[in-house]
Amino acid sequence: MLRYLAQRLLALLPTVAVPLVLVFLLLRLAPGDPAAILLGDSATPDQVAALREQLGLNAPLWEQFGRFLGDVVTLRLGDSLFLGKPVVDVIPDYALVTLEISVIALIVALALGIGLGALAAFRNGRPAGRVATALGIIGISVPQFVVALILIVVFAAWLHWFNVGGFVPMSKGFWPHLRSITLPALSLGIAESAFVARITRGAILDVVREPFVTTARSLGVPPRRIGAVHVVRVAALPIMTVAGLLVASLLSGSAVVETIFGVPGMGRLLLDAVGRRDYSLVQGIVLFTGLFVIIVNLLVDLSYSVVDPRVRLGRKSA
Amino acid sequence: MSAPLLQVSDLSITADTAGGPYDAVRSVDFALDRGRALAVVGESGSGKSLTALAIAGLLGEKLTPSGSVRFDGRELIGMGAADRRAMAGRRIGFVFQEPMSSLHPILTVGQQLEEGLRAHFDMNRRQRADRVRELLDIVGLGKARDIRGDRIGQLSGGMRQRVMIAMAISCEPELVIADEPTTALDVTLQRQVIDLLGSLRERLGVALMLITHDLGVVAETCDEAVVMYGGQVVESGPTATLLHDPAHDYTRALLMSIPVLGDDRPRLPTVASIAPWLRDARQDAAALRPVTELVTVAPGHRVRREAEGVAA
Amino acid sequence: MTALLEVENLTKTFHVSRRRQVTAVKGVSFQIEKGRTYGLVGESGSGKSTVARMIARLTEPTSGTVRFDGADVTRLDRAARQQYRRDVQIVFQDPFGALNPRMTVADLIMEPLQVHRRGTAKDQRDRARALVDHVGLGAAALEKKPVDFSGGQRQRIMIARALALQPRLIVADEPVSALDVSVQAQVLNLLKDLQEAFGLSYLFISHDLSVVEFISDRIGVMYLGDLVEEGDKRDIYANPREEYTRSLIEAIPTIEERP
Repeated sequence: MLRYLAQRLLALLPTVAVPLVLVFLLLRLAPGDPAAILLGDSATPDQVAALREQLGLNAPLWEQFGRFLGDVVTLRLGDSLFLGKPVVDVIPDYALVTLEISVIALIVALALGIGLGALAAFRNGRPAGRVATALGIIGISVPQFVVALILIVVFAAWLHWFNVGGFVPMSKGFWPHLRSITLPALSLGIAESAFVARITRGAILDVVREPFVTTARSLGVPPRRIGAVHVVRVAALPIMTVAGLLVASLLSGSAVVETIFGVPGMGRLLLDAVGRRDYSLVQGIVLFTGLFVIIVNLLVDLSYSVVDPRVRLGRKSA
Repeated sequence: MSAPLLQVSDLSITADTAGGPYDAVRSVDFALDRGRALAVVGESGSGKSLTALAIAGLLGEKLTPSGSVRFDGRELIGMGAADRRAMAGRRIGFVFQEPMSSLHPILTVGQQLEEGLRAHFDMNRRQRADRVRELLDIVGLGKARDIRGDRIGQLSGGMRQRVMIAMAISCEPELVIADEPTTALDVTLQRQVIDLLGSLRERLGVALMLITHDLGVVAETCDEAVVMYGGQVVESGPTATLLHDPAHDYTRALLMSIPVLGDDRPRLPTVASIAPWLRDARQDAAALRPVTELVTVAPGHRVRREAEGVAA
Repeated sequence: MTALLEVENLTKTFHVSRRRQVTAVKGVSFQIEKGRTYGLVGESGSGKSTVARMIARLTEPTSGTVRFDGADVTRLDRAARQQYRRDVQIVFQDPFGALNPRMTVADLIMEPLQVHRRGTAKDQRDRARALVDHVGLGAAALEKKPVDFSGGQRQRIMIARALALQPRLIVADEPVSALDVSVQAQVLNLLKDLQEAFGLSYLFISHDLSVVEFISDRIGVMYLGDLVEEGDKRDIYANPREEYTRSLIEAIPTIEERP
C-alpha cells in the first residue's frame, strides 16, 4: 500500500505543475506590461519601471518562475489590490463558506443521485425505473440557476421556511448560518445529482448483466444481497470517479449559486476579482482551487485501491 | 423403482425476440434418477444450455419456459421466486462454463464460497470457514497454498474451474448441472475435472447433468445421454447404445465427424455429407420438418422419426 | 530437398517486469517440408502460439534462426521481406474478433491485395470471387458483412483472405478450436483440400492432439517452451517416447469403438 501511495504522489508532480505554470503565465501573457496593469491607468512611467524592478520582471523568465515557486511555497502571494489585504488573509474565510456549501451539495448530489440511479437500474423497464430515468435526463438539462430559482420560489417565497438570499455568518449563530446556506447548497446538489444518477444507472446495469451475477443467483443469494455486495463492489468504481469529478464541478458551480443567494463564497470572490482585474487575488484563488481539486482526486484514486485491491496490486481489471 | 429425481416433460422455451416469438427449445423430455449422470449433447443453437438454465431457474427475462420440470416431485415451472431461491444451490447446483467471468472479480475466493452457505444455512463465522476449507479439500485445492484470500485473477484456469465446482456443491445439492465444464480447458485439466466430477458422484451421491458437445467426455462420465438438435431431442438412451449403435443420423454424423487418435481417414465425414437434410444446427428447426416424433426403438432408447401417417 | 521452413534454436524471452523474465520458447528447432503439414501441439503456456507469431514475423525472436527457402528471414532486405509477408500468412483462432465487422467479405479478401498492390481493382475483385468459391462460400457472400455468417463460415472467410496473396506457408493458430464439432470437420477437410489444390504447407497449432494428428504429417509436442518430442504422426501416437506425450495421449477422453 505504501508503495502505491508513493507512486501516486510521484505521479502528482506533473499534474501539480500545470496550475502553477498556468498561473505564472497568466499575468505575463496578458497584453501589456504586467507592472503597468497592476498599477492601473494612473501610474507614471517611473512608477511602472520601479515596480518592474521590484517584482523582478526584468529578470529572465526561468528566474522569475523560480522566484514565483518560492513565493508560492512560502505563501507570499501578494496583496489584493482592491481589498488592500494580503491574499492569504482574504481567501480563507471565503473558502470556508464555499467548502461548507460544497460539502453539503456533494452529500446531496451523491445521496440523491445514487438513490435515483439505483432505482432506475433495478427497476429498469418498469414504471418506477422509467420515471427515475426521466428525472435524471430532465435534471441534466436544467441549469443550476433555474433549480436555484425554483427552490427560492417554493421554499422561501411560498413556504417561508428560508429567507430569500442573505447570508448569516457563523459568528451570529450556528443554526441561522446553516439556514442561510441550505438553499444554495441544495440547488447545487440537486443540479449535480442528475449526472450522478445517470452514471450510477449505467454502471449498475452493466454489472447486473455480468455472468457472476447469474452465479450468485444460482446459489440462491437473495436479490438484496446480490445488489448490496456483488454488484456494488464493481459498480462503485465508476461512481467514485464521478464523485471526484464532481468536486471540481461543484467548486466552479458554486459561483452561480453564491451570486444568486448573495453568499460570500470563493466563487463570487473570483468573479469579482476577475471583473476588477485584481490579479493577485485571481492568482491566489486559482492556485488554491487547482491544488485542492488535485488533492481530492488523489484521495479518490487512493480509495479505489480500497474498494478494488486489484488496482493496488497493479493487475488489470477483468 | 423410485421416481426419478428430475423429470422433464414437454419442456419448451420461447424467446421474445425483435422478430417475434421464437421457439428456442421444443418439447424436450428426459428423466434423471438419483445419483446417475446424464449428458445433454449438442452443438451451438441446439438449445442444450437453455434447457439447463430453465431447470435451474436461471433463464433471462426474455425467455419463457412452459411444460413441466419436476424435481423430487415438485413442479419447478411457474414456481414462485422465493421457492426457487430456496432451491437454488441447496438442491440444484450449477457449474458455469467460463470461470473467469462467472466468478466475482473482486470478492475473494473465501468470500464467494461462503455466499451459498450464508443463503441457506445458519452458520457462525467459524463454521463457515471450516466448511470452506472442507470444500477446497474436496475439490483438490486443500494441499497447495491457502487460496481463500486470493482473487480469481490470481488463480490459474484449472484452479478457477475447481473453485466453481466447489461453489456448486457447497450446499450439498442433490443435482449438479455442469454447463460445458471442460470446454475451455486444456486436455490434462479436462482430465482432472472429469475425474473430479466422477469422484464427487461417488463421495456425495449427487446426480449429474452434464451439458457438452464432447462425446469423449460423455463416454467417460455419463450413463445416459440426450442428443439435441435445433431445439429438440433427436435421440436419447444409454450412452453405450448412443455411441456404438446410434439410430439417428445426426448422432451418427456427430460421431463420425470427430477425429480420433489413430484415425486413418483422409477426410472427415461431416453432418452435411452424412445427413444433408440436417443443415447447420444454428439454423431454424425447419430442418427437422416434416412433422416428427420421438419413437421408442428399444427399452430406454428413443429416436426422432417422421410421424406415422404424415406425407413428406 | 531443402525444407521450406527451417527453425533452429528459436528462443523468445519476455521481460515481464524489471526483474522478472519469462522464457516462453526455449531453443526450438524443427522443419517443414514443402506441401506438408507440421502440427505443433501443446497446452496453454507451452509457447506454441509464440512460435507461430515468430514465424509469421509478428514478434521478433530473442535468438535463433528462421530460414525460409534457405534464406534467413531476419536478414532480408526490404523487397525480400515484403515477399516473405506474402509467402507466409496466418489464420487465427477467433473467427469473431479477427474480422473487421464493418468491412464486406469482398473488402476483407481484397485488402491484402491492396496493401501489397497486386493487380488492378478488377483483378482483385476477380480474385476475391475465385477465392470465395475455393472455400465453399458462394459469390453472394461477397457483399455481406461478417455478422451475417456463422463461426465456421467466418473461418472460411479468414482462410480465403489468407490465400489472397498466394502464400506458400500458412500458419494456423488454433483455427478450429472455437468451432462446433461438425463445423470443425468441414474446415479441416477444406484445409486438406486446399493443401492438395495449391501445394500449401501448413504449420498447424492446436491443443487438441486428435485434430493435430488428423491434419499433420509430422507432429511436435511442446511443453513449457521446450519441444519435448517430435515425429511422424503415426509414431507419436503408436510409440510416444516422452512421459509428457504419453500423459497427453492418456488424458484424452475416448469413445472406445466407433460405428
